Amino acid sequence: MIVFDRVSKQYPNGHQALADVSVEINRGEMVFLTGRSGAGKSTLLKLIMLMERASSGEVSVAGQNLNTFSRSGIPYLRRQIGVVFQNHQLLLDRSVFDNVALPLEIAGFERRDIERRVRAALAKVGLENTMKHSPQNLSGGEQQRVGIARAVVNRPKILLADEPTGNLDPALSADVMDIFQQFSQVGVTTLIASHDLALIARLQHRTVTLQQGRLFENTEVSRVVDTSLNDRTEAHGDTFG
Amino acid sequence: MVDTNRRGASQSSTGFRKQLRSYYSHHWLTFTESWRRLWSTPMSTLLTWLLVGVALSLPSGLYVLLSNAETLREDWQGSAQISLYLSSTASIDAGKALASELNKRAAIQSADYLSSEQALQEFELRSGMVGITAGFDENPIPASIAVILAPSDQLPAQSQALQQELSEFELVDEAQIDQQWLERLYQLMQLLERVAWALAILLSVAIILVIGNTIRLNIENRRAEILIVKLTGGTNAYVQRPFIYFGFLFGLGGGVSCMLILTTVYYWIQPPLQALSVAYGGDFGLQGPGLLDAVLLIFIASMLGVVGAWVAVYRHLRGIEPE
Repeated sequence: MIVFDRVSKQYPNGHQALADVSVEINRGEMVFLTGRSGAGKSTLLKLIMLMERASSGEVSVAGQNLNTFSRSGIPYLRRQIGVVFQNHQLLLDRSVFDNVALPLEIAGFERRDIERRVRAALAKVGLENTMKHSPQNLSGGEQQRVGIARAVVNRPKILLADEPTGNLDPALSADVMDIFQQFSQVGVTTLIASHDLALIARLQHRTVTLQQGRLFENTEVSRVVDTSLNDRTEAHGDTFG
Repeated sequence: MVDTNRRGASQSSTGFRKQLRSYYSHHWLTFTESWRRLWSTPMSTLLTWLLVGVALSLPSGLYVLLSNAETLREDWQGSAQISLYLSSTASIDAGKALASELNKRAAIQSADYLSSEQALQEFELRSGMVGITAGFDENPIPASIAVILAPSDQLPAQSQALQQELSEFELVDEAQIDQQWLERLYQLMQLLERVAWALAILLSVAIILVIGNTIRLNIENRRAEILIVKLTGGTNAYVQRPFIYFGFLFGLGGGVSCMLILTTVYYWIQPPLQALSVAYGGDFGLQGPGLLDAVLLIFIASMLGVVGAWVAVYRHLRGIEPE
């Protein structure tokens, strides 16, 4: 579903964000992307969203080569991808319903369909009773779940999350991850950038790690220098296939 | 996985009509939403409308005046006449024959023969001095033909040529023409028309800039929303639509406020104008802007708003990309 083939990304200021990254994520797979801040996690997600383009190598998403993707086609690519942000990025001047409905309105759904789908998406994250509320009146965990509902309401093939639990306490983080797992189980390809290694370890999914722009599968990561990362991943090394 | 696929398929089979309906309903939603947003800041919206209205009222007021002058000119063109005073030896029949001959010309709207007796009677009637000429041995007023020219753009030059020609007729003693004032009015109107155009162009640019700037502020205020819309797959057309509607509504309201200004001014100057008209024994009244003028004006104002919005959208909205 997502294929990186020897992808490098160098920013105009000379910073090398990704170097020779190759990775393949299959349909319905749930993958964690870890690494220190500045290791290139966000850049990798941006390449999938076509917020950035690769300097070299090839990125393809859902069978479409992004290198040759036209600018005018970008919105249609993004409609196939749901994104969850660290700071939820909800519009505070709109109700929860309107926030979740946004991708459907953009995609041109009819009002009736929108209502049905928003209800369903909010039910999936356990917030069907907050539709008319303002996001401001929700707790951090609830806001993040609204963000997830918005990301999945258009039934995307791919779900990306950038530090979705960054602002949440462990119990709420576990809830949020649980929701991601449910979507992955119904076939949504899910890629979650996170440095919550303890949580990741418990969830027993494939994990890839970025270090200074280079990507390692976690089966190899133990051979790499970062010891703090090593300690935790080795402890659960058997769980990473 | 199978589940997602099935849903994906049913989604893409959305009928064309359904999509079209949804497209229109989105336009309507965006329109009403823009309207609602305008009224969430009523004071600044009203001020913008007033500003646009005032700016528009100058050239359009001038336009109303000019079109009044135009109708006046057309009226007076009827009186752009050449009076042919016939020689005293000319018989009534010969005079009538000449009049009917002149009547056949395309450049001449009418040529009416007035015998010296008729002219005398008319003079007595008008001056109120009945019998004043009884003391004369003979009627001092000559027979005449009133030649009224057909309306034409080259009227001043034409009437001069005609006067020249007619004065050489054997029966004609004198061909009199009074049109200097007409010529001057004509030139003045041409001048004013250009002034009106210059004002219209300058103020249109001003309106475009004002509305553009208002919309730029709107875009800045909604930056976060624009980013999220673009991240969730909103096309440029989708993102800019509400702002184009904003521009349209700013222009529309400006056009309406301009009409209100013009109408108010019209009714305000009407009474003294009437008094003036009566004092001069005339019946000239000012024609206010008509319904068609109003519709046209509001349409033009709305389009100026749309152009202003485009300017802002092109300069500011396209640059907002998620990073």
